[in-house]
Amino acid sequence: MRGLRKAGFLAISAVFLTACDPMLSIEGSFWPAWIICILAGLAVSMALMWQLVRHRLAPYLGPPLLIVPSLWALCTFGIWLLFYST
Amino acid sequence: MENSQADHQVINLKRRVLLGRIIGTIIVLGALATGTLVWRINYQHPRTNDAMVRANIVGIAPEVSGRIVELHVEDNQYVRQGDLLYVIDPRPYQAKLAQAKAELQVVEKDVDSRRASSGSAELAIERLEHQRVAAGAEVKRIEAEDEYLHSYLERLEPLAEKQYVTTDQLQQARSKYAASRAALADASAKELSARSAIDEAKSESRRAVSMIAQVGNVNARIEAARALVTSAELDVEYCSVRAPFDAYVTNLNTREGEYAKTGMQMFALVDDRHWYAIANFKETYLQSIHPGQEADVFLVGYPGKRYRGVVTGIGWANYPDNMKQQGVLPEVRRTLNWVVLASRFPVRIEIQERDLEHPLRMGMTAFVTILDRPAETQKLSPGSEKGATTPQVP
Repeated sequence: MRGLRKAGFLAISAVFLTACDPMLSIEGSFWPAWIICILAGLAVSMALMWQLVRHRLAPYLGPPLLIVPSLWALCTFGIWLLFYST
Repeated sequence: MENSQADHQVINLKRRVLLGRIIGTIIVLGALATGTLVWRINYQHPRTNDAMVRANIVGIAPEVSGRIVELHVEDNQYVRQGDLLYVIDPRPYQAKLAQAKAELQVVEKDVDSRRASSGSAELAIERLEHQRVAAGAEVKRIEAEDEYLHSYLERLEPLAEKQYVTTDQLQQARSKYAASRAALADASAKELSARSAIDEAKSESRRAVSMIAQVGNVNARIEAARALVTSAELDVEYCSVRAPFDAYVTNLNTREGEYAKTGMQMFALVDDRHWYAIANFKETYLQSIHPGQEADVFLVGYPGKRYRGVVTGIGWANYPDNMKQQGVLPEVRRTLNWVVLASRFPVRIEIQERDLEHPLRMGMTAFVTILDRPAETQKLSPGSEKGATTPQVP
């Protein structure tokens, strides 16, 4: 269990240290951080929303037109703050 | 039993509703809070990917024309200050230098000769002055004698009327007086002649002095000849073109035998003493950027590599694209711009770090973040030598 935690900590540290580069290179084209954050935020928000649906909490969150974009924005901003703010 | 199950479901539903409301509220408030934080960080630490690495470029052009006989560098080579880059055939300029030196010697001899002539003219003037003084004394002597003979004749003439003196004595006195007058005229003419000769000699002397062209302690002719020698020496020196600073040779596409013309750039040197990132920031961020602030520079060519930099200045002028001129009148186009894009101004960031494994190259795409703190090295001057001691690439 302790080894698993250590490995997880190292993996998270590696992600934090390497993800500071504000540009992502894909075959010679460089993608800005905000596009990466939007796409990653979309993926994370979809995963979270799926979990909320699975736990039958989705109908009680509030108006979907407000909640879904807010969740996407929260995930996008959160990812940016975690990886690209410094 | 059924009632208790129904109660349990109602309680669960209530809990789920409550939890859902709380999570929903957190999501909305969290989005607002993180959005505000992102906006604030972006404003405090302006960042842009519209940036590029650059260095100062100096075109290397010869000061003299001629055929290149030696080329000591290759394209992309690192050169240190003073290294020989190429040599232009120096023989024509060496011949001109020898000619200039010979002309200097000729001028020096000529000036010496004219100085000697000027000395002779001074002596001649002195001699003529003596002659003039002697002629003046002779004139005075004759004038005195003439005055005596005139008074003697005036005394004899009344006596001759009373026949106390003979006619012959009177005639003799008159002859002596006439001879004296002639001698006086002759002496006066000689004195005038001496004066004229002196004036002529002085004029000659002045001409000789002007030909020497001496002004104070400086002789203009010799200085002019020396200047020609110096110019010829410089031309010979210019045949060997050396690196003015530590740099990289770039765009060298020629070899020995090429005829180099004065002012024609053969290749360029990339100044290795100072490297910059020129980041074009929107004008809305300029009030958050000040010279002396620290900056992070990321190069897309080296993912994950961070360079420390310092803001050294913000551009003062951009070409105003809405102020064109046709002839003498401004050309004003009709527009309907509802959304106006912010102008961008170049911010110069001096990169203070070097890495042998990750050399800087002009034109590399960069991502720049301005940090809200002063750099450790303040007030970098263009002459600072930081990081310039070793080349980036061995």
